[in-house]
Amino acid sequence: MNDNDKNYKYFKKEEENLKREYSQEFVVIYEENVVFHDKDLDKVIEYARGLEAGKYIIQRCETNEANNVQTFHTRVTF
Amino acid sequence: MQNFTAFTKEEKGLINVLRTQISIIIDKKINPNYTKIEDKYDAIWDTGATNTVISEKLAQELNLTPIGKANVSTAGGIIEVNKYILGLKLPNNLHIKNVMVTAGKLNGTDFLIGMDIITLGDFSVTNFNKKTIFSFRYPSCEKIDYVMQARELQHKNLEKQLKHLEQEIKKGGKCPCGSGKKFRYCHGKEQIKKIKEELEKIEV
Repeated sequence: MNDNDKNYKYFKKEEENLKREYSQEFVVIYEENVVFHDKDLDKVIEYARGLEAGKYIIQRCETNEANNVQTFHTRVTF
Repeated sequence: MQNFTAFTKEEKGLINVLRTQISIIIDKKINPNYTKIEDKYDAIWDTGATNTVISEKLAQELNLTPIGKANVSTAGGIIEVNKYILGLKLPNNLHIKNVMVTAGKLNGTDFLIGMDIITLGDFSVTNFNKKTIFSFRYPSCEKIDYVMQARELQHKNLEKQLKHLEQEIKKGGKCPCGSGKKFRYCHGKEQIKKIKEELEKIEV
């Protein structure tokens, strides 16, 4: 499992707690820990630029389930 | 009105797909393994897409580094797919920085520009004289409401009619209905009342 997957697994495991703590914010997860959080994606990316690429993930703690799932009505398959 | 950047794409006829060329802007600290392939990529503007999508194949060819995963609704249920961070340069150098794009299998295009980008600005598609004109400005800076435009036009026309009737009344001529009465005391009065009532009903 690569770092990206490990960090995502941590996010999924802690998702409910993270959503409570960082509601509507973006979190940077590095070594399976939240190392930065902010509502402003630009600030989060600026922080992430200081980390090694591929070793962290950025996830939004979206509390509105409807906004948590992307939908494509045409053209695209996954 | 605040300053904005915009582009307009004027077609020779009516079109059924809104397509533009875009460029990508790469931050080497976010995507250190990036490999340039082309200067420009094809993008379809899709109001049915909640988010902007990059072709999975292209993301791999460009060696982009995933920065997380997105939940995507498919016919088979919700699945998790990679997402990436890119800057996008739309036509006329309209630059949108830090866009989170989702990877997906795309047919016939490299990108879908989704509602995440469309809602950053004002987006219009008009088809006057059977020519599609697609225009986008960033950021959003003014409301466009065709219903309001129709009301304003109706209001203007009624005011014109009212002015014309008032001029006819001033002339002191007879009513064209043949009653022999002056227009002012016959149909003129009734018509003015009717127009004034209609004007009051229109919210402008």
